[in-house]
Amino acid sequence: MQVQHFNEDKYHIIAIKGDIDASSSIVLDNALEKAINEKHPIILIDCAELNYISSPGIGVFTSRLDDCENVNIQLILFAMSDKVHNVFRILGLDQLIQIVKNKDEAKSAAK
Amino acid sequence: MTNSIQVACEKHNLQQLRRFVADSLGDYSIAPCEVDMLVLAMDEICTNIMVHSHHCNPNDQLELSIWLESENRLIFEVQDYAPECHFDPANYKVPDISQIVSEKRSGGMGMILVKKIMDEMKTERRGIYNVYQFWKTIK
Repeated sequence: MQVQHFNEDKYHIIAIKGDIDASSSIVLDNALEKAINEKHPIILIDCAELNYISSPGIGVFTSRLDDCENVNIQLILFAMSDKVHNVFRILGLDQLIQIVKNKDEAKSAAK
Repeated sequence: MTNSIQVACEKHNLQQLRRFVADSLGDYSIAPCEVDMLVLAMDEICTNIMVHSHHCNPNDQLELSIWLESENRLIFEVQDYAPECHFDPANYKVPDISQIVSEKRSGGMGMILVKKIMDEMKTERRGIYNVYQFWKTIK
């Protein structure tokens, strides 16, 4: 599993590649923690190359969601495959976490 | 026919377990999206056993077996030699997801997924080992 950080205008993008499971979720957690500590106001998570996610990966988002809201950071996930989106949907997290189709929609959704 | 795999209780073996489940289910006519969910459920179960029963000790092993019990009913069975069953999926009380978020928890969702994906589950102690069984009717 790999993560890449980059900035596009006012957006901080974290691109995830590969599988996030119990063995690799720490990589995502460190990446998200870094972006939050750097106080980027809008963090977009590019899931286009995210092949698989299990609950430890989902847990990274649930445990950081409140931190983001407390410091007015907007967190938006985009370009998720149906397979990955289904995991969020089963848990009902698609109602609590902002998930959109693509990067353009993510940028439009960011306030 | 029963397909089985034995792995050490190390989290980096989860990928191998997922591949095994996907390959084993290839023997049956199951929709790809359902295969994905069953792979996820078994990943969650094996993660729980590795972490909570074995503390990821590489000297400990677990065995996962899959077979067709009847025409359209699959059994997934995990066996391990931990001194006791450290969790009981069948009696696990599902937490509220909004509570997990408000408490900033990263855990607790694996068993929610397992309970939503699998039809039935049972945990029992047989002599010196533990048996975790999960049933799924395939459509």
